[in-house]
Amino acid sequence: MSDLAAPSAGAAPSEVARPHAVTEAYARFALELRFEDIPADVVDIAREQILATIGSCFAGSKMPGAARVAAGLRILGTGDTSTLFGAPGRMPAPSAALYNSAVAQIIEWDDWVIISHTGAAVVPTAFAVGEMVGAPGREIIAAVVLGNEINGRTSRAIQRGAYVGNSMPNHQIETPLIASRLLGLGVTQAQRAVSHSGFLAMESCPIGWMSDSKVLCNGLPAMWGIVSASLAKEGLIGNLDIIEHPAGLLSTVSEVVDERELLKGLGRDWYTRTLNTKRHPSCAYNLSAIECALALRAQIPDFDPFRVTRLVVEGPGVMLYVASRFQALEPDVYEQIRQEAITHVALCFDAGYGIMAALVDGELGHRQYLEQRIFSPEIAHLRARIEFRADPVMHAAYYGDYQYGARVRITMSDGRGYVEERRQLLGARDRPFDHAIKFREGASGLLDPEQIEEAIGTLRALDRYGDVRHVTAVLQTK
Amino acid sequence: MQVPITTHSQAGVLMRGLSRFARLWASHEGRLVSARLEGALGRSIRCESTEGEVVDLCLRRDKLEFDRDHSGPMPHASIRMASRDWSRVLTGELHVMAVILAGRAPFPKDQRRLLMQFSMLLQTTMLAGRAVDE
Repeated sequence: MSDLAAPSAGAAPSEVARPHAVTEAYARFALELRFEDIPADVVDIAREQILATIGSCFAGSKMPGAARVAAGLRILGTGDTSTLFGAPGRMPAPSAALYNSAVAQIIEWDDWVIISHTGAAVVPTAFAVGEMVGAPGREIIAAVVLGNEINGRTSRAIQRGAYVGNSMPNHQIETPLIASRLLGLGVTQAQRAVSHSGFLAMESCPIGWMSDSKVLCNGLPAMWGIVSASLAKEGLIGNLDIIEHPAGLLSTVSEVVDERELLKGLGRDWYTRTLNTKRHPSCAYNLSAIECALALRAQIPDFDPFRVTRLVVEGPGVMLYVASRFQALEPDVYEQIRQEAITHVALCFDAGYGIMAALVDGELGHRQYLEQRIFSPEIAHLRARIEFRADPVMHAAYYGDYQYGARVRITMSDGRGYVEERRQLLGARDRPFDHAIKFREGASGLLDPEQIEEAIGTLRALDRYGDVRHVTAVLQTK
Repeated sequence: MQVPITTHSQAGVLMRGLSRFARLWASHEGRLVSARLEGALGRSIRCESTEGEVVDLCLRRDKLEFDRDHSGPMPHASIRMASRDWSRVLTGELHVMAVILAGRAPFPKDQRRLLMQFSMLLQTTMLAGRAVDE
């Protein structure tokens, strides 16, 4: 293997010229992180993240777009290396990574560290490549952790730019590094892999967040990160400083780059500990309000959505911003979904829709994003009665400490009023839930009940398996 | 470029709504600003209706300043949309980005960050203001 790397301090000209060799530092971290060095609680979080993410993949596989993704990817070739979570058969690693990333996000049921979504990028990448090479389970966990750690820092560095949340164009950094580790690249090769991955900077078009195109947000970086690592492994030369260079990736995609965030505490402060997962599929900003709606549905005797006369939602400004993002469309978002100009994806960001569907059904899962519910008379009734207000205290709590608060008030036709409030979303780092529940919901109907329980146990013991393929064997959809 | 000057006596939908925004913004005394949104501060923004009303403003942490003479340099960003869209934006029912995403206002790349951040602050203020008003 020809590897230029292993520069020590002062050895390489680039180090002299550039005091913060971020790309090299990330490559070293990605390749040198030992499973034994990851704190036990961080390993626990990553295992749960994997369980939750694969649960999301199964749920997303039930959406109409999933089969279209799988069918469309066949043009990239067939192969039996990597599992599709929720669909039969296997695919080459890059294709499987894209599929699994797509279905992890198609109903917006993925997770995030700090302010950037990670699981839908790092878990599919780690599993697809890990299966290809027969990596041990602990290597998969280490790959997921390093992905979280790097993703969290790059997101921090560009958080004052135009992008927020899942739109952050930073996945092209962590995915090639995950693949580089699992494919056995050297440091310089891994740096080059990031260069290939990041050269065509993948910023998302804001209107794509109304259609199935949005699943490419993490999916393309997952696929391309693996290909980029393969290109670098075969010797294709790329830049060694694509992340930090003034004309590199981050400066290309963000108006502001806080360089000091990129290496802060790397390997010492574990950003994986900030992981937030979602109990229900919707944009995170909507989830507390949705939980309020579910609680209201349970407490109002003989609840009938047609008896709702007023529905008031209060929360931080960012929730209202997301909630009304697609409310100016002409024709409106529902009609455009009917015309197949856009899809249910727009409603994943619509707090009003998630709240209304939760009220109608007493649940919010993939079924609520199917046409039968979207175009139902109950939703039409509630749409005319919902209104939003900003709560300055919740607004400050969000920006001060990532508290995703919400309050929902309902007035029924008999004049009775009900209110529910949550100060933090279920699944937040400080308000966890059992991810087995989510996995069961996602895998229901795709795996036998016994297989589901076996899969949960296997994934929770992932680090004890010498070959991840023994783990994915129990995740196969018939 | 010459622009029509909007005075108080001529105030249309835009000036009336933005004046209310200015009052509400000041009442929050900077509490709605976060590090992630402060990029919207200190930048000149031209708000314009397709019907011809033009208001130049600059958001400060604790107040909103109008440039009534349009005497400043080229604004950092411009928001141009129909009065009917402004009407909904200035109640908080919609935000500026929603109109942009509907394809009825421009979204130049060099202005995107400011437009997004201003959009969020404007809507948050108007909706928080409703609660205060009531």
